[in-house]
Amino acid sequence: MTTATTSIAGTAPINTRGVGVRFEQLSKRYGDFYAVDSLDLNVAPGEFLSILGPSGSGKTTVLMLIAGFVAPTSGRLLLGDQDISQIPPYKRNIGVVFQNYALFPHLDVRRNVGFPLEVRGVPKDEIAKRVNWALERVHMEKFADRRISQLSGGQQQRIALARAIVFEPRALLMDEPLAALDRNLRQDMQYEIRSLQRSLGQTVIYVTHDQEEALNLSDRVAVMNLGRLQQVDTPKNLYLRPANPFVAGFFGEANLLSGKTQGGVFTTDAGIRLPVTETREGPAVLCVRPEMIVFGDERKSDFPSLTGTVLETRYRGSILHIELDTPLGKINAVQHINTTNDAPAEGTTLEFGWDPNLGHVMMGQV
Amino acid sequence: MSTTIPNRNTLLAGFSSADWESQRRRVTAVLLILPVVMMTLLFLVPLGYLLWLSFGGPAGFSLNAYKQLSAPFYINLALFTLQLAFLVTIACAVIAYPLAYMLANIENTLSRLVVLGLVISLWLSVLARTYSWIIILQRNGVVNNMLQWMGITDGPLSLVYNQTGVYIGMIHILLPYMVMTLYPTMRAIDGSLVRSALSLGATPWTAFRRIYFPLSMSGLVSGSILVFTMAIGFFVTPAILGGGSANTIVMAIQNQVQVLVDLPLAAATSIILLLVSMLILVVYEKIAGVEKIFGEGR
Repeated sequence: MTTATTSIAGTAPINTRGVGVRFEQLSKRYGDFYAVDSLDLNVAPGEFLSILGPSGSGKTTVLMLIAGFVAPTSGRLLLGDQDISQIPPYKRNIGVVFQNYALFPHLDVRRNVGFPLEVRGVPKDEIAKRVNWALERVHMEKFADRRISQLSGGQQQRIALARAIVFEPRALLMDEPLAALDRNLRQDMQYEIRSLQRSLGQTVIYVTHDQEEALNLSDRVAVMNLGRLQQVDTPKNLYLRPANPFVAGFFGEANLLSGKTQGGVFTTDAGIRLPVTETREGPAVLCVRPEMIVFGDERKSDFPSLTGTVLETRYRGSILHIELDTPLGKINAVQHINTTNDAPAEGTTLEFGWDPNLGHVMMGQV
Repeated sequence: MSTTIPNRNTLLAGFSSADWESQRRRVTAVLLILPVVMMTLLFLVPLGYLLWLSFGGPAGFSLNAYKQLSAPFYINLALFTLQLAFLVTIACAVIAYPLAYMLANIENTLSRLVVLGLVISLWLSVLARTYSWIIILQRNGVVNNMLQWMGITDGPLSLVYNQTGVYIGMIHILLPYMVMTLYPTMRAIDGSLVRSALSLGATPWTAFRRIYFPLSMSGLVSGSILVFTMAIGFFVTPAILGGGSANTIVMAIQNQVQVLVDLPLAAATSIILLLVSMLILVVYEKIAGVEKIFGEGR
């Protein structure tokens, strides 16, 4: 067997599984500024993990750290069981798909996809075979002899993907690869990237600022903000069980109430007592999603009586958005539109509540 | 009107789209008159006059001038001029490439100062820059004093009034043109291409050789063409720094006009110089041209 850094021998099976990626207290500091602060994260072999965050969250630095264009200030980065934090990019065997595709304009499609094999000294006929294989995986085999300038954005994206998988990298790293595509194409490509990843068993780390994309694609999403990891979880849990107000606000709308919780009762700062399922005690923030708010008779009988005045109603496609002025402060609610209910008039007083099982308590202060 | 419902074009101007089209063509033709007249007056007419003059001019048709040019004296002169321009171009390319690379890829005070220096040197008169080299390179000049003081040479080297001086002066004067042509080409190369090559397994040297260098080639080609054409027609620097030992075709033309007063001969020499330059450019374009890099397939 060859060493890990010069893997790709012609005999390697096509369907190798990706390896895991582990971040151990990884930090990158510029002067006094921590672009990435003590990142601990474990990506399982074959997992599709998104790193999601607003601009300035440090996700791009994480990407550069994984690809090897930036050296960490401290901490370790493990690919499989090998510490790669001090290894140069060209010895890492990580396939990177860049945001702008970064295809070589002076080489045709075949030479672009063959490039990683050529620089590894793979024999010509083997290169031809592998290039055809990779192009088939992205349904671009008919375009092998085109020039890059003759391809559309979506086609270039596929070529970039083929070039990143052709050398059977140990992990795939993608930097907002779909940001430049229009909406429909983006959804098609999301589906293709996902099915390609599944069929190859590749470990994928996907960096994006687009929540919807991250939730659609990923097994788990790592949310970052201000250089720190906020939460790593499944899309479902990120929405229903956010770890903190930032995560709660980042995925969709949230009504956040600050107060403290004790013995299954959440007391807001204004002194209103609300039933919760949380058993821990201490200062906390209660998160109630707008679609969990119910009105009138739909309320559970044991829920305290709360009323609010309608400030504004808006139709947003298939849902009706209602903004209420309540003793809890402003509360946002949404309802799915059906024929029996019209939008309540502004100024109407409504009784509202929610299922205490759906309210989520986040421990700690805002 | 083919349709009874007035469309937007007819409502707007009372023209059909065909009317618009012909109107637009007329405007284009009018606007093109000025550049065509300029080109004719400034280039084609003088060139035609030169051609006519080279074949005898007012004295009647003759090939005499061209026969004179086939003498070994002129052949050697032409060969030396080509050699000078060729070597100067090579030297400029070799020096300018790393310089432009630094300027395009490193953002710091030093590189900004170098850009400033290059731009300023383009503003200075070639004559002034040439004479400065005499002061620097002469027997009592800065370079010779320095070399002797450091004990590298025993006596002064002759660095000026010979071919060495001509090469130094011409490389210095033409270098900024090469850098300034390479610089924008290199700036336009997307940094993610080299990063991408590295991530795909190419060593830094391979990434440079296979990706960066081919992409910078178009700048190198246009820079070389610019420097070569300027070098082949250079007069002031070889005349002043050469001290008679570096005679070029252009100096011969000057001699033909001012000393021999043989205008047909001067015209014929100019025509030959023009043809040779054009021929070399065509060949160069064929070998290393931009088309080769970005054109249709392999």
